[in-house]
Amino acid sequence: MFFTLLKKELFVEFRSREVTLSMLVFGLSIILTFALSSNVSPTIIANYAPGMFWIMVLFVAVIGVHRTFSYEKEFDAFSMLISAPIDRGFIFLTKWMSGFIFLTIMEALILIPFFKFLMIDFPLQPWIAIGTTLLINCAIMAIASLVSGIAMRARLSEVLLPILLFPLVSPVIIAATKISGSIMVGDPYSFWKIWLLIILTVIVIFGLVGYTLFDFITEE
Amino acid sequence: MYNFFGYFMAVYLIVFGTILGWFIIQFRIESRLLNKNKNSNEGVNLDGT
Amino acid sequence: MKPFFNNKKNRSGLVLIAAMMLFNVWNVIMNTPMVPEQHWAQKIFYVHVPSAWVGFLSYFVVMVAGILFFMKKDDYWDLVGLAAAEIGTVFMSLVLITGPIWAKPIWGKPWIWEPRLTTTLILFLIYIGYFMMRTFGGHIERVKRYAAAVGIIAFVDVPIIFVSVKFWTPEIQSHPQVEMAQQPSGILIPFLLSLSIFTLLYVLMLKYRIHVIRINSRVRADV
Repeated sequence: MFFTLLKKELFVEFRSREVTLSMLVFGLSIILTFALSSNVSPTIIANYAPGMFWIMVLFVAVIGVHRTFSYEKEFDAFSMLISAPIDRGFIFLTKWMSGFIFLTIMEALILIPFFKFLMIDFPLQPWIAIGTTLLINCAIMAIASLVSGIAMRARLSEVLLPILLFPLVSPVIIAATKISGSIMVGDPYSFWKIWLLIILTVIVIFGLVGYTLFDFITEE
Repeated sequence: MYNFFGYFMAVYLIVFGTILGWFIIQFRIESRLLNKNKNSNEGVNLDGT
Repeated sequence: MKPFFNNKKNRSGLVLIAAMMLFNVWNVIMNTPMVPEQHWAQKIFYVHVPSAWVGFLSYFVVMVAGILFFMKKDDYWDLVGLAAAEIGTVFMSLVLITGPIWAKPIWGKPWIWEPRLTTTLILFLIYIGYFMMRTFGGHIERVKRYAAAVGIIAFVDVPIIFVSVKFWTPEIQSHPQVEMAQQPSGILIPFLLSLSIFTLLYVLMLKYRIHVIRINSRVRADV
């Protein structure tokens, strides 16, 4: 069931490329703004690069999530989806998974422009950086999918989504900035272990809460 | 040197003023709602009996 | 429905709690010891901390009401959740106002990213979103469910927020009064007294607000 839903999600996307494309272009324009506002000064950027990166990811995630849900809103597909005889928790899991995939694709595409335009060196241990980034994406998307399930069908969804999401996601952003900052300067694992634990906690807790709550939220 | 007593007074006035104000506001909302109900022609039976 | 204070029990509750609160203020002013470096400013904490406690308690009530709303599908729990969210936000605003007033003379600047204060701020922001959802959310039945969900998520997030903010800026000093057990009993006992009186006040406020919201919804539904 899960894979059928996920396949549907991905199929819709790969035909229109609406979500990934809007995320990518939006991400590029944010990078441009960061570059212009920091004068591309190496000292400023070296300090703030991890923060900039995760701010960009957060904004882009909002756009992506909003796009996926409004697509369904336009055709009223969501009402049909939740009236189908499936465990609604699975809807949450597919939204989470597909959001994670879109976000990761976007990051993979935007990584080189980000590092090159802002003139940052690549981290010394790329595999650790990639692994932690995937986990953080997973945590951000867990919260974002849950919040979007709440906010998207309300009026004013485009405002409510970031207003609810940003404070809720703040521990993830703190942890993400700390992890990436440590990896960029090559700190040992013991320095950022605590942050990794926080990310894992968020994934587990919001995964469970989302799976449980989605059934109640989407009830008609 | 700070005027510690002034800070103390400010906090106590704000906190207890807010709580008192809250009660007054609730009281006014309540009496307005009940009056509105009494004056309307039908007079809704709020007890649901 | 009768006015809330027509009920004798509620009226005597109000009088009793008002009397206790007056005694509490008198007790704090007259009977608590002066702390050398903080002088009068230390006494702010007899209302600041109980406000924070009541705020968090209230948000906890929102979560419990949300869970019960989903389990029982009874609109009563939606009213409880809304009332608790409103009162909780009143007290959280008080915390966010009185915290900086205390911090200004003690730390020299009004805002420091202290874990408790930061957690309060983040929760406060989530609840601004909550009320925007309630007000502008549209479809009433849906909004009730969404609000219950936000209440649950917000409180589930609290420990995570607190831990992450705590490790985020470990060099920032915590509240000096954190280790309550080490405080001399001259401070501890009046503080606990104040805490319990504020909790009683909160119970009264919650009952009153539920009553008012109930009248409001019935008048609206019938007119």
